[in-house]
Amino acid sequence: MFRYIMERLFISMVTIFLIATATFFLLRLLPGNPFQSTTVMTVEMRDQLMSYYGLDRPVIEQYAKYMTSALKGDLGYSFKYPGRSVNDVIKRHFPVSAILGLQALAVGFPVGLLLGVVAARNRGKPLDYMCVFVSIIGVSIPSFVLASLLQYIFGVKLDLLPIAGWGGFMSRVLPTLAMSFGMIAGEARSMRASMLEVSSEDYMKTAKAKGLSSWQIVWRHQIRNAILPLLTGLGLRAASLLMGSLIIEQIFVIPGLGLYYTNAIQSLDYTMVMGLTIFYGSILVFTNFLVDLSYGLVDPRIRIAD
Amino acid sequence: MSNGSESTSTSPVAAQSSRLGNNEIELTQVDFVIEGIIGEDLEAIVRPSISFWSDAWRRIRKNKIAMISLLFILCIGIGSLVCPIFSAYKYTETNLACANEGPSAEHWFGTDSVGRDLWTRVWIGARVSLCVGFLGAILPSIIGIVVGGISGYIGGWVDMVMMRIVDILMCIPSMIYVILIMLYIGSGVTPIILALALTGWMGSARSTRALVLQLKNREFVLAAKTLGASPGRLIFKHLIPNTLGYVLVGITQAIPGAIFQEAFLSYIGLGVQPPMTSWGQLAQMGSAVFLVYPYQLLFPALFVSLTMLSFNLFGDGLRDALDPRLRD
Amino acid sequence: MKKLTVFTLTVFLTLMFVAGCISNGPKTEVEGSKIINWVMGADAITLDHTKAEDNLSGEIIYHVCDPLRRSIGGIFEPAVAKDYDISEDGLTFTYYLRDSLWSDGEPVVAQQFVDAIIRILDPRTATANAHNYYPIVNAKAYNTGEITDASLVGVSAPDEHTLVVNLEEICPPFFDVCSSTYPIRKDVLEEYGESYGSEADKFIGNGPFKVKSWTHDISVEMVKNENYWNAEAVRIDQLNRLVVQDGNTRVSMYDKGEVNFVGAIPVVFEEKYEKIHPLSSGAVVALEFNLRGMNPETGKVLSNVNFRKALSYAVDREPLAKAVGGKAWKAAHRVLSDAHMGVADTYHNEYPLQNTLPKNADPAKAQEYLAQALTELDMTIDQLPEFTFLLFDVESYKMFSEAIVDGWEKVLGLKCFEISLLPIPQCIQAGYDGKFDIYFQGIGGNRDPYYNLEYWTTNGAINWTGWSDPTYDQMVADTNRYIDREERFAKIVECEQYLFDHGPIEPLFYSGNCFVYDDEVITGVTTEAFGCAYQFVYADMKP
Repeated sequence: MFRYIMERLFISMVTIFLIATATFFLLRLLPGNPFQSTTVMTVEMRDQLMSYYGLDRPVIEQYAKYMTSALKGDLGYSFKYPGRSVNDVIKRHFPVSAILGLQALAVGFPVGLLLGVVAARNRGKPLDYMCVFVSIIGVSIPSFVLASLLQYIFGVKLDLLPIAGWGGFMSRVLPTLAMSFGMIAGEARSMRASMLEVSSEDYMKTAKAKGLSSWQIVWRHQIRNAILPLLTGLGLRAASLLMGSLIIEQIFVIPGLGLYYTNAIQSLDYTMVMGLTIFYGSILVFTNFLVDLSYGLVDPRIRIAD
Repeated sequence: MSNGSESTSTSPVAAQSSRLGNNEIELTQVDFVIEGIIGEDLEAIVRPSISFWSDAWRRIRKNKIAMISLLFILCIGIGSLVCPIFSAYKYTETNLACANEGPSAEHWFGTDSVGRDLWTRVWIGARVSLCVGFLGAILPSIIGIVVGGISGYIGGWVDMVMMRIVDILMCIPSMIYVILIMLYIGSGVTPIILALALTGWMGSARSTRALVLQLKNREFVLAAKTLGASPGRLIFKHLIPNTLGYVLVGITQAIPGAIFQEAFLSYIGLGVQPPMTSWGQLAQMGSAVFLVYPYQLLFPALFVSLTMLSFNLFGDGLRDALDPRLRD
Repeated sequence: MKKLTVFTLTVFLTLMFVAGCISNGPKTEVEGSKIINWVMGADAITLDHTKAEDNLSGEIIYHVCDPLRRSIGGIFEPAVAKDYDISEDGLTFTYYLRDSLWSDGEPVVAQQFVDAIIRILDPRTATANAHNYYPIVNAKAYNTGEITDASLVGVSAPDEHTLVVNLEEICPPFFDVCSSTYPIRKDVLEEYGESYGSEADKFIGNGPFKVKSWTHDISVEMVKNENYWNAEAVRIDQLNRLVVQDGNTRVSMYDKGEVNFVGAIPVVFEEKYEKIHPLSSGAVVALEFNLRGMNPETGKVLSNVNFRKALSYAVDREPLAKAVGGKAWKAAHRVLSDAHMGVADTYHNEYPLQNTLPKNADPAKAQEYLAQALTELDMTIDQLPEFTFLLFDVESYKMFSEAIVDGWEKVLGLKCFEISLLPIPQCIQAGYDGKFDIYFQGIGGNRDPYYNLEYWTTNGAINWTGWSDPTYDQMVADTNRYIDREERFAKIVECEQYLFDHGPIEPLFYSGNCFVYDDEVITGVTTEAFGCAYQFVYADMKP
């Protein structure tokens, strides 16, 4: 087991390195440069700036320079925001996105599972249709529409919750809800499908024949097996939730990382894009690693086979 | 004892039984007349032979909700082709004098801020959204299934390498690819679908791989292997049909995803180029003004939601129809 | 499995609860004082005025730093420099500074202005602002690295209250630019190095307000600076600028009373408010034609003046400006914005132009021009090549382009335009590389019309058209020979006429945006098209 973990860790490192490399070169393929978003400048001015930042040196040289400092943990300074270091930006804004993401996960995953279980257990009956309907609504409405609607209904019309901001508990309700909706819908449908698949398995019939109560069957057998396919998706979903949603952060004025990421690519802020990509890459790789591990834990068949 | 249908001679059994006594019957070959093979139908399956797919079609036909959904989708599809042609207005036609008008007899869905008829634009948008939705979900799924299936089946270091490649590709911000594609191929529906295909196959590859990993150690697979099935037969006749259920649910979930991806791309300027539009773009423009002109958001959002609802319901029905265990 | 689920769920829920209790908002207010909560759509990028190049940073800097002379509502007033002198030959500016203090009590001295200008010109600072200071002796040489001794640059402080600036060539428009320079403190710079200006505590200013806190992309809090030399005139106690990107949210916040001043209201809400104030941005939006074309066929057609005029006259400027741009947008009838000031009145009133463009489309004239063009080119409509119309991927630009292209079809029967939207850096790069036929260009709001005209000289920053006319270049350069404003502007209008008649651009709109506030509650707010749009230095509030 230990050897397995070390192997996987090593491979994760290599993966992150490759991610950084690929992103670096792809970014350089894009025409344009970081200085053109706000000011109008002459070609000479632009060339001067490029040369100052070393952007006119051969790409390989720039790559080597960046990677050496990145390996030391220094992700450089933003091109767009003079004087702001990328590390600083991450330290300041990631916790916000992460908390929002975790909240959405904490709400979305269990609720989605529950809906899926209830729907599957009452298959064909009105309760099933209701649950499916609710979950489908979640998948059918674009996030910006949903967020705007929620903000309008609860924040403006009913005046129950703050419209925007990231302060106390109350102001987090709406963004968390908006963010978790998609997850609830997705998990509910997947769980329902999975539960139904599992329900016709032989061991289910055995359990029933053994005389186990419905709840015991559902808890010990059905859910445990049904949840497996959802775990793979969960890893990805969790990572993307942690990354923050541009739309939610924008509409609810939340100082998260999602906004930074999109703006960075749009304004070709090289260091910011690289830094954030490496950061996210690490999270994703790490999450996948955890999910793969947990897979082995939960499903004995895979453990034996691997 | 005498039912008289088959025997042409006196019943030898009766004769024997009288010979041996009441509770013992000794039967030898003499006691039986070989009639020959009466017909193959003795082992015939009662109902007619039917292939996997026609059976599925037959079953889904019975599912009313799924059929209604399918009908709805077809209507939207036909509408998208036909309605803009028969409309009094072109989707590019601006008329500043009647901007931002609500629904009326002249403009069934109202007009937008430069006076374009929204009815026509919603139907034109349908073309793009349906196209992008379908192809943008099916293409990446196919690529993902193939890659994930092979990776999961072969296992070992091939699996390891492929999954690491998937990991790497997943982490590179997809926006970069999209911008690159847009720049080198141009803009329009094809580059968007290409962009979606290239950035979306990873997710389905991962889940297919997980499924295959699970399935390949199941009894029926081991049984087929023992019986000498080739890998190809295993993959196509056994593994894939069992993954189809999840795959189909995956695709039906991917279709709205593809449509919203297109909306998000338009949001940051990489979507369909004007004057062509899509539901995503219309909804996005509508949400900016919905506090004042709610109808500009209502109609595109309604169309998107209902279509997605139909895709999901149909997908569910399809999955039920394809599940071998739900045969009746 | 059950235990695992229960455990995980508990962890999640606890996390959520804990997270919910951590407060993160900067809502510190003092009861009963005069507070303006001002909301904009984006945040400042830096507080370092030597590096700041965008409006949003500029607006904050305007309030927390004090320049030599301050523009209030478009009129320059003495600030740190209580008096000034310009030599007869126009080559020397002398500023006489008053006694004033930084927000930490240190005195403001002339050397700090020298430090600021040198820093801007220092190649190691790497800012595009350097270009603005090139008229100074040896400025360009220092900036390009030709010389490395900063003391050779023509700016000096003979004593603590005198600042002398020497120019290489006479340049009247430069005076206002130079007067807008803010001072900088070397000791604070050295303390924070690269990150100076990136945080509230890594900065020091000498303006009417001082920065209390800066939460990136959320808000900037500013409080009155008691050490300001004119502190009695500043009546507002706290000025908070909030950042809310979503238009709907901004408006909802105003309705709910969370903010009392909204800048850049989305067009759709303009009808809703009585107390709405349109403000010109001083910028002009124009069609820039690539005379070389993306390929020779398009280049040939676009080089024909009548073709360009045909397209220009087919645009229904005024209705389009109002429909998409809103109340603050207007039809452009000439090249320079209507926000420019002349000598005693507006530039437009004092210096009229010939053959100005109509407010609405003129189909008859447009068709006439087209017919003429086609004859000259010896082509029929169907033989026209396809033109690429390039623009930023901004929502309003998209609508404009769609309406304009539709107009060309309706009025001229032309269907040969393809709209191409790109993200800003790629769009600008495509502009540099000449990969467009028609570009939807925004021509920046510089206070002095000279700079806006200079853009179209042969090496002008946004002249990607291949139009190079030595006569025009010379005319523009010559305008600087006149120190007297009236004489200079008489030459400027000649340049404008020349550009208008022969140049590769067709002006479309004068842009702007609307802001909303209750002017009976908040008084004394000044605004201007150039420089800092919203000025609260002398604002006051009724309780």
